[in-house]
Amino acid sequence: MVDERDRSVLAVTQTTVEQNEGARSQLARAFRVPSFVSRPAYIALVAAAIWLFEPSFYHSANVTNVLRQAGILGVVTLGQTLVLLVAGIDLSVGAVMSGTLIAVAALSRPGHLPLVVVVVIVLALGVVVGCVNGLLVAYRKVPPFVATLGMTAVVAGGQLAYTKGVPAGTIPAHLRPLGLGAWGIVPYAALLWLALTGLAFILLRVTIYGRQLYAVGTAAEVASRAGARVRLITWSAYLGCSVLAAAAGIVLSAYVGYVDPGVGSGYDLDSISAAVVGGVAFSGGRGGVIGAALGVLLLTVLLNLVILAGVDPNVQLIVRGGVVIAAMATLAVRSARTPSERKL
Amino acid sequence: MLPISGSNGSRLRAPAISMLAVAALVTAGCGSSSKTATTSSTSNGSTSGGSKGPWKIAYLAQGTTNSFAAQLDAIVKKTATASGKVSNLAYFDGTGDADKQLGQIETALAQKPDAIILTPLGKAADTGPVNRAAKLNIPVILCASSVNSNNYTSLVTPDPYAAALPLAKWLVNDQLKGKGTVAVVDGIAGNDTSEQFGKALRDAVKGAPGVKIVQQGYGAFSVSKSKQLAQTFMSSGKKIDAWWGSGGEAAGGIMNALVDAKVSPMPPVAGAAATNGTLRLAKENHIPIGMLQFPATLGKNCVEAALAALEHKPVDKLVNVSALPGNEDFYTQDIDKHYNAKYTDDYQTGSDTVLSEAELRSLHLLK
Repeated sequence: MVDERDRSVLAVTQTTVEQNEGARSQLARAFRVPSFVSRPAYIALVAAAIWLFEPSFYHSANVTNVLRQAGILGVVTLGQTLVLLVAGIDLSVGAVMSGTLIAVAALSRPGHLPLVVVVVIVLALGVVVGCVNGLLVAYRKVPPFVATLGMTAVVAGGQLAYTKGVPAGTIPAHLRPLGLGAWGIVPYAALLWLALTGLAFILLRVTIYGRQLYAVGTAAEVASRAGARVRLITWSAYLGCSVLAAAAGIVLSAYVGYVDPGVGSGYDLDSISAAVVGGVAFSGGRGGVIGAALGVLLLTVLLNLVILAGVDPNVQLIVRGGVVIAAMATLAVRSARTPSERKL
Repeated sequence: MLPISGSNGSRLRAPAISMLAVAALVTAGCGSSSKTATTSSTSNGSTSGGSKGPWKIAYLAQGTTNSFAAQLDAIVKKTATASGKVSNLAYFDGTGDADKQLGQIETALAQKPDAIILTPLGKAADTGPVNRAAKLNIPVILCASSVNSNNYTSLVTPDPYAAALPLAKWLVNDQLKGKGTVAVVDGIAGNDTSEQFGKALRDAVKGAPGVKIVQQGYGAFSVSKSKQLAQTFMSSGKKIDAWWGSGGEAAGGIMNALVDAKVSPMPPVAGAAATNGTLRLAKENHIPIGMLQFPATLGKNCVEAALAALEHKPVDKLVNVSALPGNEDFYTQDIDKHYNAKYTDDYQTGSDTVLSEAELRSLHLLK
């Protein structure tokens, strides 16, 4: 019964996608990229170029550093990808991460709660934020931009009201290895990211839920007519996003080790950029966690490279922005040419 | 650090607070417009005319977006209340947002307060409103940061360049002995205070050909971003003999990165505005430091300057906080004099000279 519904969702989704292929193929012909330049080939080329021009990038300490930063951004981006796939956006992830750090510090003061309980409570805060975001967007039809921007203000305002601008407490020492520790040269943050990406990949590729998530993002009305529970699926994407942001906030707290109330700032736009650079469409229903992970790596490596190369700090942002635009333009053309890659 | 950084959160609070502040100004201002009319600023910062108060003052603050701003606000409010000369201190929460503050200044001006205490969030953006205040003969005290105009009554701030230059020379000449490498974590591109800090170092380096700046970037007045930047610098494999950080957040980030990387011996760190947290890190990890003070107690000087202007007493055009007793630059050997273990990392040295222990506790500044 469920399988039939799922097949019908896929069928109508496929029809919608095919209707757009004519226009896309025209665009692709205009900006054709040689077919042999596949994604692995791109990566190999970039790796070789880095080795040639900035060999210090491959110092083990630097690789660990890059992977640690990528791991934290990667976990947030994973959640952002879920939301983008249902044609949404979540601007509250940075506020959730900052709120997480404040909560970890406040709850971990001497004589307070054990670390495990603190982590559970902080993740529960992520659940609350995600639930409200999801309810607003899926059930009250509030535009995602407005709902999550409002939630950003609520979370940041609550944080300010509680701290009065001066956060209290310290990050517990038992938590620090999560942010600072490594297995060989691979930091725990990156291992966590890898594990979560694997789970998300299976969820999106293998399960009915994953297929319905794509269907809702591609054409919600059609998916609904085919039996998908559109509102529930949309709600769940926001829930997952906020929980993952809280998880990333915990790792970031462990890494920073200092109660900095602005710790999550920038992660909202960085996570969106990484996902979109990785091929996840703003319009929903296209892209996947592997592409998003590559987007995370691209952004993190790029930031690292411009610093290592000694690029003037005033020019660093221009270089980053330019490369991101170029990458997105290239990927847009490639995905227009190969719509079947939408689930990678 | 300084009054510039902080999140842009709590945006929804600002309109409500602004409306309340406007209502308070209107209410309190009913019987005092004549006082405003008799007050005017002069080019040397003193005022002419006459009145005795009590006064209504608009305080256009950064907003409690970081611990410096929270302590500054508390000190301004307490000083104004304790003076007995301020009938109404209308508080405008800028939430760290220069655009929002622009509208708030216009709102405050429309209510014709007797004086304005402004913590500018945008050097260029706030210039127009400050000029309009001068035309309305409303004294403006710039608190902790400046604007691109001379039409203010008094600027109360440390002189970032003058305060940072001796630290830069200490780093280059005393610590590196004129030879070595420096990594720089700046604040925000284009931010005046950050640029002045940076200029001080670069001028000192110009005088020492053997010293080179090998890495530099902006840490956005954020501990976490500064730490990530410092860690990237360290993992590049380049030799770094000394560090320069613009602001307490940069120094905190640098020191955290050095401690996490278990660097030994610790290289000197200079340039930052000291907080109790950076002093703790320096003390616990034996990091040689040269730091300047950007004390929140300057809020007291701001209120005093406003009251002096309203009472037509002489007011200095520039109140250089760094030159006031107790606010001098200090070095490794002075850590114990400034560090206080009973306060949290966010405590700004000297705040306990104005705020009581109960007030500091309410700000989460007592451990």
